[in-house]
Amino acid sequence: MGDRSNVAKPPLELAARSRRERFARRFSVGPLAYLGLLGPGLIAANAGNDAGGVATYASVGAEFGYSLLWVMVLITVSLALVQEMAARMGAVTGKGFSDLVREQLGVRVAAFVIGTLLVANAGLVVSEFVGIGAAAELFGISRYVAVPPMALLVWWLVTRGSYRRVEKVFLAMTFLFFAYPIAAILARPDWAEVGRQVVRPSLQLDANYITLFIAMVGTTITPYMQLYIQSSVAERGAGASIREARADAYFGAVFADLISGFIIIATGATLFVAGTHIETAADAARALRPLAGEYAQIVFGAGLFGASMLAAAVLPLATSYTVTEAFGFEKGVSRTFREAPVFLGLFTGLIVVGAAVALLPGLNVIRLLVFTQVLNGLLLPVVLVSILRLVNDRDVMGAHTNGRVYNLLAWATVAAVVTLSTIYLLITVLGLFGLEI
Amino acid sequence: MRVVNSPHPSTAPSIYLSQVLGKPVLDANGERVATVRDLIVRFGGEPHPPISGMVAREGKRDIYLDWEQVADISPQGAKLSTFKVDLRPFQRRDGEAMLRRDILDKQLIDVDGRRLIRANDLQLAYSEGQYRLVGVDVSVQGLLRRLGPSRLTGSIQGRRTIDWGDVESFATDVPMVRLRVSHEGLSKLHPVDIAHIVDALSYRQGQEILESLDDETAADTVQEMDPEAAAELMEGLNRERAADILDEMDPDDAADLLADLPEESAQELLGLMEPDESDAVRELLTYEEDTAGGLMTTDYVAMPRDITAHEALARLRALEEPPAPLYHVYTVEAEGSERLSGVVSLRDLVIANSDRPLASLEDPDWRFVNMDEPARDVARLMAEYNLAAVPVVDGDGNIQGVVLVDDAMDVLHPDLWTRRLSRVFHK
Repeated sequence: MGDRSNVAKPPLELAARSRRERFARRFSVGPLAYLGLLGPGLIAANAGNDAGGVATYASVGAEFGYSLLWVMVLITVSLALVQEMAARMGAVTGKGFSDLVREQLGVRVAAFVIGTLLVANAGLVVSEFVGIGAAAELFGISRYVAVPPMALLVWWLVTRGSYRRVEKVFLAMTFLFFAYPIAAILARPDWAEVGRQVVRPSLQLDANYITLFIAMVGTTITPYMQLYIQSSVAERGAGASIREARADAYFGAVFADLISGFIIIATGATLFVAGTHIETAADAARALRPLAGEYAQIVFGAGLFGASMLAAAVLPLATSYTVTEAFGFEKGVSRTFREAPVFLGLFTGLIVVGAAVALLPGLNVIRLLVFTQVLNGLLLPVVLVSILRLVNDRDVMGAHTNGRVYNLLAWATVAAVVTLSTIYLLITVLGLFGLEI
Repeated sequence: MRVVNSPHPSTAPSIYLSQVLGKPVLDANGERVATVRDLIVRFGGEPHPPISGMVAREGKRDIYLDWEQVADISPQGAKLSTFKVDLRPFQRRDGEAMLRRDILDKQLIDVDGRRLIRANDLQLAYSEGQYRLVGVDVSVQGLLRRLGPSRLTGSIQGRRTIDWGDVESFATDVPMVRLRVSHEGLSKLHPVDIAHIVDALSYRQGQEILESLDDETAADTVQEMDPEAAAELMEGLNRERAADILDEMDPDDAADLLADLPEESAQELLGLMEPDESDAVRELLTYEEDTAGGLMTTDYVAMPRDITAHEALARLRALEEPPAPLYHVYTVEAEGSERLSGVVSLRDLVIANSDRPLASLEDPDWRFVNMDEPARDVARLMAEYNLAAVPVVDGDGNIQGVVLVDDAMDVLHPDLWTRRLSRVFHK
């Protein structure tokens, strides 16, 4: 490394300092980093495998076996495109999504788009607290006992600035979800059938099917991921090259969706085959039995808890920043309520609402989790259209606007989601009048 | 009767940009010829830049109207003083900015309030014979005015308007023209305030600010910033310039910053720095970050313990660049030795009789730490014994540097998260 420089001074002694660790975070160096293993693309896309994501994929596998796997392939293509566009905007403009929306699309559009994000993210915050409650119950602790102190803990950790220290613990717990691919293989699924379903599209006009379809889209391509990847890439400044950001976004999308696909296969090979419907978190945990046996609940519970706590802290915070940055309110967790009322009000409000909904009596955990993802799917077109408008604006992107094929695929995604959403809403409205398709 | 050619405006003393945009442009006959699309200001030395032109939408194209042709603007629209519209296509010129496209909705710096603001609306007023950009509306009312239908909310008055003279905009928001935006006002702020602002800015805007500061202010600013963000910014600067800034920084802060850069960049910058400075930094770079060695600065004063107070003060005065802050003089066994024998506080040195030897002024219960002492322990020791500075010695008892209380405080109280969304994600 240092031998190419012709500086006469002795080279730095690097080993002594903690530089190596810091280097790893830049995705511009090192072979591992080049694969995108540590880039924001991977982290962003994997954020989809949270409480709502696992509940959705597990439900898909349990209800429909492998028959929705082909959708996963298409969603992966869309996710890769969308994440890449967001990353590219970050690299070219050096700005975050809410900055761009406000500056380029004006106050009214900004209010609409940011409002949409607020609703979508509020849904996710609810799902995280539901996830915390469900995880607690797997360990035999009532959610009424577990959720309020956890909500307080999250609030306290973030506003007191010590969240960073415990973050890695939660992150490590989410790795337990990597047990799904192993469980899937140990469950000895019919690989020929899996292969067939991956490439053979089939569609059912069934309310449950459409619902899970949209939930899958919503949980895989979550608006929050685009915010994440764009601002992370923008933050890299000089280190952000479009090519690397692109590789990272693609890799992250494929990797995350492989895990998601395995969750479907794992549940398909166990629960679907046994004809079990998923009603509780314990049902979802059962898919891990081929690997973890009687410890399946513990593995699943710990993974669920870690993923939910992680997102329960970051999501309200990211949402509060998104809103206040777009509208120029004072922001920052170290502020007082008097200095930054909107920011802290939103942050606190989201946590309170999330925890409160998670405590509602008679909650169908899995159904609520899936619903929050459906909500994200329904709202996704708003965010996608804004991204497309910005990424095709020459004033914003210069020579880096979308190519024709790109736009075609992206608009096809929008059209597909809008069509599905319409069908979903139609079925729901008809359902209100007691009609069923 | 309507006075068309009046050189003075007929409207209220001030109007908002949003009240004019999209409104009709009428010629001297009162015929609608176009709609207002944007207003153009010319930046010069004045605190309130004058409006120099208008972009109007006529059919499907944008035309440029020189302000000579405009008789008046009001919430009803613009009136022209001519009967015929000169159809010149619009082209950007150097030194000019478009209010809607370049400034409205953008992030700006309120220098007076030392914070970032967003331009919810712009206030225009007629003074000294011209319409001028006089203020930025940052209030919620400004948002509402533009959110609602103009009939309902268009005339809401802003509650908080910041004088344009106290506002700085970013040249990076205007990519097409070379706009000279001086950040003169900003550079007069305390480096801590500048650092807070730069920390909250996007990378490119932060870089613009840093580039506009003189080396010393830039160095002080970088030292106060979030270390990783500072490293990113420095990496993007011109190499020579970055090295100049590093020269001005305290060696320990410069070392921390370089440690956050990729090795090649760090080596290159070290090569470009002044030899004296880079030697000190190189040495510091060899120590582990979270130890006394990584925390200390090599900027200290050591003198033999047998010289007099008078001689010591004379030597201090003779220093080209005495360390700042200077709390103590460290005494060593003999001239040329590094073996630490004691600590003399500047206070005792100054009030002592001038013929007293330094040895007699040494603090009877002074403390030192070893190079590999964990940073947290050093910080705790300093907090417990109320030390402003503590010397660091190597295994042979030779003084290697000094840990200052401000660096130690960073260990005990790391900054809370900064004011940017991206830092939430930036691990």
